[in-house]
Amino acid sequence: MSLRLYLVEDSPIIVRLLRELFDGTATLDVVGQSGKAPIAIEEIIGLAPDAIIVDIALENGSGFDVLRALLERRADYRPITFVLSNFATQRYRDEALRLGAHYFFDKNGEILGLLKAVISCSEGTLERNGSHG
Amino acid sequence: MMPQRQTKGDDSMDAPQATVLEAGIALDALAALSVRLSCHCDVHPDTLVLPARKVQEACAILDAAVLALKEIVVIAESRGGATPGSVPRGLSPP
Repeated sequence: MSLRLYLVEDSPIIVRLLRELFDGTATLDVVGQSGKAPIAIEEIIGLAPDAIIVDIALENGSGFDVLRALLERRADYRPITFVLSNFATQRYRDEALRLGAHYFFDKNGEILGLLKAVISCSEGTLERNGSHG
Repeated sequence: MMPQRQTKGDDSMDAPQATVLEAGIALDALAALSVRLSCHCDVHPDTLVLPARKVQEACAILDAAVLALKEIVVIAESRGGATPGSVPRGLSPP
């Protein structure tokens, strides 16, 4: 069974790149994407993907809004959460982990690391509560 | 392939907020470009490896990043920031 993945990302360039990188991975299925926090929250709750990739700076709202809403509205639902951001400061990392993120990747130089982690996750070889960076 | 303008901000934003958003667009573009060009590390440096489609995509991404950086300059200038050619404060024009 494939890992169902949702992308919270507003950059069409990054979305296209991620879709291309994940394309052809039999153990992975991208089930949805939005760059707007309110839409992403509703779609994630509705689709209940196994994993989500969340950007922090979004077209409408932020990735923190998404993580916070998931915690508040669906405390029983914990998708494997990968944060991918240009703002990879310790403050952002700490806040993301506090809001339930499992992994944090810097867009600058760690996208391929994210790819490996997500694929490992889909193959069941990645610890769910590990940390990165 | 024409670069697509990704406008996130609007006129109600303050300069730092609008600047950060534009910088984010540029950083996204450059991060994607870095990944797209990061393959083929094991081949000889003089080997030609990129198909035309990849080069076209890379050019479009660079153009998008340049557009975002130009927008940052426009934002800075419209909010009173100094730009090359402007007269520095405290200096009298000749």
